[in-house]
Amino acid sequence: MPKTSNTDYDDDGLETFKRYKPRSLDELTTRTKFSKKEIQLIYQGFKQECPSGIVNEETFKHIYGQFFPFADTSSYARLVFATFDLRSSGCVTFEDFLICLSTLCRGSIEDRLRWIFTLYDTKKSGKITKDDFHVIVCAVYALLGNVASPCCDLETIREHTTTVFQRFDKSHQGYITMEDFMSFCLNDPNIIQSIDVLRTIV
Amino acid sequence: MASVAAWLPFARAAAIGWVPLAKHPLPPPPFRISRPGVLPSSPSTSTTSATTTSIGERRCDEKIILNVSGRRFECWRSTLEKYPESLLGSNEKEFFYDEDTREYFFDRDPDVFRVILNFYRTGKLHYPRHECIAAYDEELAFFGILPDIIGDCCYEDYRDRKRENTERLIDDRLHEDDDKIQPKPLSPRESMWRAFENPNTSTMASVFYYVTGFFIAVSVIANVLDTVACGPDPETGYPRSCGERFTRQFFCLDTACVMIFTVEYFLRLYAAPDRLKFVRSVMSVIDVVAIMPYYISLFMPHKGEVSGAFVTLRVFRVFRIFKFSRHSQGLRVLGYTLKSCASELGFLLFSLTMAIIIFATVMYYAEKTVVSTKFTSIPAAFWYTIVTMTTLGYGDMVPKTWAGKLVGGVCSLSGVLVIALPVPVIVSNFSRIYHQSQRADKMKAQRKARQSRIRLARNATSNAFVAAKRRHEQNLEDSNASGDKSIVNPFESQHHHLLRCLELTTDREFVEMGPDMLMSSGGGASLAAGSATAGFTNLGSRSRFLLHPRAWWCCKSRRRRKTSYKFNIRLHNRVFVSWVNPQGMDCILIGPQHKCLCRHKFAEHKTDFAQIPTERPILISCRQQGCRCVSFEYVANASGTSDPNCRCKHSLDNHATKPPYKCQKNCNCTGFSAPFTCTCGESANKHITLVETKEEREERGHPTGYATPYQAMGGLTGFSSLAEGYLRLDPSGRGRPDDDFLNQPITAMDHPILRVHASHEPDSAEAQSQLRRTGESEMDYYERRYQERQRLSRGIRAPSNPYDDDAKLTTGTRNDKPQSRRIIGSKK
Repeated sequence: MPKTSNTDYDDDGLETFKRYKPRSLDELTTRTKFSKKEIQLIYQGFKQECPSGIVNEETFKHIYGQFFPFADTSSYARLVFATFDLRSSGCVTFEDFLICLSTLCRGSIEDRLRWIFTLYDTKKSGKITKDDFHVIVCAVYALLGNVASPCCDLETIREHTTTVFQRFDKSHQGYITMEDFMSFCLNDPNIIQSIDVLRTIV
Repeated sequence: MASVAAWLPFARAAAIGWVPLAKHPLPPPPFRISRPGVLPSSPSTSTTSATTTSIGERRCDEKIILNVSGRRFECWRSTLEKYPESLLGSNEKEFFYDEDTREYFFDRDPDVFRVILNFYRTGKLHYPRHECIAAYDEELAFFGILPDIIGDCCYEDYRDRKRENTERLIDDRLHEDDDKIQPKPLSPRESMWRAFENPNTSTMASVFYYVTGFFIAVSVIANVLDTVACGPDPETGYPRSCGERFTRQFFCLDTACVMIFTVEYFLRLYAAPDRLKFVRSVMSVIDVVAIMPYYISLFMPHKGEVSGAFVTLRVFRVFRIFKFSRHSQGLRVLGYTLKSCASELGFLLFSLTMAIIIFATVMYYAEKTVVSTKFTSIPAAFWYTIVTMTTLGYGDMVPKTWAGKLVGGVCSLSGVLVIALPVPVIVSNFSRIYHQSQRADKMKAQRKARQSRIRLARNATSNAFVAAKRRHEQNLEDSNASGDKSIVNPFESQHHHLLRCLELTTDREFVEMGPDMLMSSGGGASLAAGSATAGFTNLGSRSRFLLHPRAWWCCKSRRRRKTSYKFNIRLHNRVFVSWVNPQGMDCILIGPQHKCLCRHKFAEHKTDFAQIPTERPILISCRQQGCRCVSFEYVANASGTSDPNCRCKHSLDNHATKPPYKCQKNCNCTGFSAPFTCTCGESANKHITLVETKEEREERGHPTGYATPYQAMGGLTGFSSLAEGYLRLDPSGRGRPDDDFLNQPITAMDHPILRVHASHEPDSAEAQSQLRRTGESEMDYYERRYQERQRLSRGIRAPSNPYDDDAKLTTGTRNDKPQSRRIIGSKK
């Protein structure tokens, strides 16, 4: 039954107006590794999608979903959002966003690997277990959506998880620490090269 | 600020009046006055004074340009800086500064921006009524303006719209939650509660719903019949009621009903998610009140006289009728209305009480003098006032004095007014709530159809997406092979690279979904939900799907690399050719066999383009040797054997083969023109042969069908393309008939097939059978559909003897007579 009372003229009709204004352009230029022009472009795009200047998880998922319109992006987007949401407050301001983006795009290889580790470390326990890997592999496969061929089932995902985990877990201790992860990745020329491939020109 | 600045000279000038009063000498002016005494009338007009130049220069410097989606706004910086918290007022706008054009660029709606800029100028924010509230809010949020500043003139409007919107959102979310919960397996208790709350969930639930409804009716009717006179008492001779005569029967009936109600109540109590809340709800109280009297009367010694308490209990039994409120939406709406009108009803009661007391007092004192008056006290006069004010007027108490009569008159008049006033409020509330609940029901029904539509659209988008990616990769390969580095959109290429990375990460490949999957994932629901006529249009679109070779698509990804050059350009660079009338309707979709004015068929023209030419119109020249045809030009009404004559009475063969197709006989014909009126009503020479690319055709909203590897497909996008424009119901033809036409009732005058369709439900077996079964070949499908239609038109619903079908297939006859069928059947 719809709401019928006419007496709620007080402020419950309007939700509190949240808005965030970033600090000046020059300050951001010094704090990040982006040029002024790039920051302008990024901010314009950012503001276009979330006019209030704050991204919450829902908006983030929506934006991420636009790049994969055929797929279920929510799980991967949630994981990525968790790494951006440094204060775990449920929302990301433009500055948080830009600083994280600057590490990802322009940071050193170690910085980027560290970010990957935090992404994989879904429980924030400081080490990656096989379950964490399973979560992330599932999320990546979900990005394929319904237009991928051959079809992927749970078995392929499990297999993929196992292969990757065994590759990392050299000492068979059942989990991967940050040091293991870093040393493994830094010694693998393939990974180093592939990370560079995904650079984006704004 | 700018406007105020113009008034500064006035303020300063008027301050001269302070000078004689000054306790101290006034401070020196902030600038050097070169020519004292000359104060300009307006700072913008004069340039001589130093005062104005300085002000003018300052202001000129601060004029800034705001470019909002191409519309340029200019304003003073000081105007914007009035609100430093907002985007334009703070340094946040520097993020949008374009140094090349020296302006601030915003990719936003310029119409709304006008309102926002006016806010900076005048300090008053208005809400443009025609704007959608969500879009307006988003603009406000973008520019960082609090909606609270909206001026009083628009604030009420804004609030109303906003509240409506939030209510709708909440509603939607609730429904979404409902939808989400549905697939989850429920515990028996939860599913029981759902069955109680919503009788449509299962057969069991609706059976329960109707059974309880029936027993409520039975118990109420019994309660009423209880008192009907039923012949005289054999002992005393007094008439007695049925209740007394058939005490045992009535008692049994009552017990049965109460048992059922009790069981129902306890089941509900068990199933309720929050039992305390349930017990306190109005419905549950009604339930208890309905069954309680029976149990109390069981334990009361009622053998003796009809005591007062016992009678009261019997009266309470009639409250069972309120149990119907679970079954009637209108009654529930009435309840909600009364609840929402509580303040109005309270006012009515209060004003009535006041009036009654006043008039009763006056009446009492006016009638006091009359001997043996019935107005013995003020409370006794209450009765008179109530009866008079409600315009009942029993006449058992009548004033005798003239004063009493006067007050009585005033009393009855005021009664009419007091009672009539709050009624419209209650009525309007009722209609509003009723419509809301109606709308909610309707929306629930529409949601399902809408969701399936959305899913279908989404699938189509993803297909287009994957196709774009493929095309892009193909282009990339081509350009790599040929060595030229054509300029590609950096966004697109990087995005496709991203998708490629995903493909490699997961070792999967993106493929387009065939129409089969499209239909099965989304189309099925809409098909089943559609009416008979909608089913017909769907069939039309399906036949277009079927045109393309399915088998080829399935193996597409494997064979792609081997496909020939020709194949690729036919898939990607197809041009669509149609014969278009002035209204833009494609009267004829050109196919390979259509004739050109050069006497050659369309298939003999150059229809494969390695690269679609950029100039328009696209020329489709003839490939035949010696033909000087520049571009394909369709000859109306030309059949294989006889060509139409021109208006100059000479045949087509007597005309030139290149524009302007002049007659070679000695006549003053300026060019071939057939004296033919198209079925669309326009004459043939008003039509043009239109050649367009896929994008252009899509822009016109006309169907483009599937990419096919065939030569010279022209405008053919499906089976329906063979029909003429006025027959086709897709956007390229006459379009979909309007809703009034589709929804008009089917009468005896209509086609028999239509009548048969109308006679049964849209989600019947007929609609189901429109879907192609899995493993059924195209011909089988059409044959089966034909047979079904035949059967329906003969009035036979159930599939007949399978031997019949065999016989028909082997003999190849479709209209076999009943006798022959019987013979074959008996043979078998």
